[in-house]
Amino acid sequence: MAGKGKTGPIDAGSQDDRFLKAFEDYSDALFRHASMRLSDRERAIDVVHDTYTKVWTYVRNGHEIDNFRPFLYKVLNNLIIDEYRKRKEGSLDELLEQEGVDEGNFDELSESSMEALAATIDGRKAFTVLEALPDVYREVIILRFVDELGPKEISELIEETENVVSVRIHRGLAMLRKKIEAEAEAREEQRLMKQAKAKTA
Amino acid sequence: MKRFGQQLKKKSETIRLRASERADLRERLVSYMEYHPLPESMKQQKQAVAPQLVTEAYRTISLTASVYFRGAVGAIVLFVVVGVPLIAERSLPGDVLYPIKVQFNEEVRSTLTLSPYQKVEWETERLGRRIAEARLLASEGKLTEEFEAEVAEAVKAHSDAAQESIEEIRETDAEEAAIAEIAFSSALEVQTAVIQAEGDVSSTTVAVIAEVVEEESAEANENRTESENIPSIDLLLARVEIETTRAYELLESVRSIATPSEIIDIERRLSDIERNVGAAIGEREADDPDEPGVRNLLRDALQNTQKLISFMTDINVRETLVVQDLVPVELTIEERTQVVLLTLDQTAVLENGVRAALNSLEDEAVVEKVVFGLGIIEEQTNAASSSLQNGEIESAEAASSEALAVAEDLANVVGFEPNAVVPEPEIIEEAATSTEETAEEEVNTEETGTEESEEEDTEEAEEEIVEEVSQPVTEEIIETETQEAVAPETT
Repeated sequence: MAGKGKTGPIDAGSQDDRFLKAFEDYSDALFRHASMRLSDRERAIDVVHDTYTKVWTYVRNGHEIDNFRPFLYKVLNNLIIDEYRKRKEGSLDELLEQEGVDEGNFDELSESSMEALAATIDGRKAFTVLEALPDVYREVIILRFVDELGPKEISELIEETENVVSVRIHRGLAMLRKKIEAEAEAREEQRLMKQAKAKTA
Repeated sequence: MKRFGQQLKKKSETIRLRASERADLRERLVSYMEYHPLPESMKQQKQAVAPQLVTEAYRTISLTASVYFRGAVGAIVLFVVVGVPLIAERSLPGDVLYPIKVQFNEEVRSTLTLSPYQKVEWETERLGRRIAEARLLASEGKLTEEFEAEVAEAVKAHSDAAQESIEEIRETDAEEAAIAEIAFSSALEVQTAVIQAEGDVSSTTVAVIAEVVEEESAEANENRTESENIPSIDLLLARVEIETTRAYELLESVRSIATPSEIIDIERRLSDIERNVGAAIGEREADDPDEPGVRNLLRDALQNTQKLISFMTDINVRETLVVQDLVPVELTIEERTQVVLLTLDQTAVLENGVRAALNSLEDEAVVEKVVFGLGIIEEQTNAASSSLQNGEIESAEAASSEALAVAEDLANVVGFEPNAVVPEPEIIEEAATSTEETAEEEVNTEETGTEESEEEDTEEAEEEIVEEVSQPVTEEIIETETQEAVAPETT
């Protein structure tokens, strides 16, 4: 992550260039992440902008950043949480609280069981129901599958243990499946209703 | 899971910044960076420290090295793609790059020629190139038998390709094909003339090539006769018009570099051509036009124009030939009249000599023969004179030369030596080589008109005869006769 406090020789020109390159490289991914978390394009763009300005300020203060990607994600994530706080006060804290005491069972902690679970879900359908998921789960699923970060990176990013990350991914996936199934059932019911209507008509 | 992850990622990739949004975002960020620049201390630090940094220096070098490498690769590629073919254009048989010239450059240009007409032109040019190469090699003494055979083969191949294209044209447009054929055969004639001129210098080396070119030329002429009633006279006229216009334009452009005598030569030939075209048009508008004759006249005019153009455009041709080799001068009616009069004068000189010698002859059989001969001379001379008066130049020419031949015979018999008495017919030589005086004469005749100028010209010629006294006339006359025979006759 950020090499805090490093005040060694810094090449100003290359700092500028590196920073702009970080923008070219990651702005799309960051925007995608923000957009999926917030479900709001305009806000997502603003959040990405704020992320970069914050990082730039950090650089200006004399800090050197070795690897921009995780650092950018960290800042972005913080900003998104801020955004949530603005939207619905307290709900996130409650969730986190609730989550914090749960250590998760064995199944939820195993990577292989997660894979088995994921294999049963259609990614395309999952994309559409992802929005309905509570943010704590949505966050890890997006980080894991869209941004393709490893469990360790995610744990550093959201400042939770890897266990918690695994449990959240597992539960998130389970929820996704349930939602997809529920939706499919609802659609099936609708279809049957329509058929019944058609018959009675 | 992999599948799930992939599907989800793929789907999520539909979410992305629009180009405008992205540019906008970047703009905002850059202006933010400008408003909040890095502190001076950091920049100064960098300037102070950077030069001492070993790692920095290495990085710089490695970067430029890669730039150099890319640049070098780029330069090499550029050289291979552009440079090599350009250099190859100048190569000769036996050079490393020669195959690139012939098999790459020229083939590429071949495929770029869209119409068969262009292809004929291009193949003709390639043929000329091969011959020029052979001549260059020969002049350097490097033309081995092997190369000679190669060149001969190439010449044949190009000629065949050209004729094939002509056939191709003929399928769709017989008239165009005939025109193309004319152009092709005049080009071949030019090349033949070039080689023959060269042949005088190094007769053995270019013999094989000359043979092939002559064969091809003959073949082309043979094909030409097949299409007797095409092209149409209109098309021929149009083409002649185009080519003469081009020739005049070329003449204007070479005026500064060509020698005065060359320019006069070319002008003379062009006016010959125009006169022939005028005659052809006149004949065509006559009540009973001689169509094949008109066509031949125009065809020759076209060919001569094309030859002149190649003389003006092709440095190889210009170096080896004079205009006379390519397009012999055509005498105007007036000039031909002068020739006839000169011939008659010479005949008269000989006749007088013979008559003078007749008295001293003792052998009666010989005397009888001589008297008979004198009778023929008188008859032919009268015939020539009357033909001249009637404007029948050809019969006058025939009669006068007949008279001269007999007179020479008689002179031989009686042992009369004409050398001391008979002047050299300067006018004839001038007509042939076209010095400035001829050009003036040309102007004179043009100014004074056709028929009336006859007398003046005759006087002039006679003056010259008196002025210049010199050796064998007979040879000169015969030369002129043969030249006239080669030159297309006015009908």
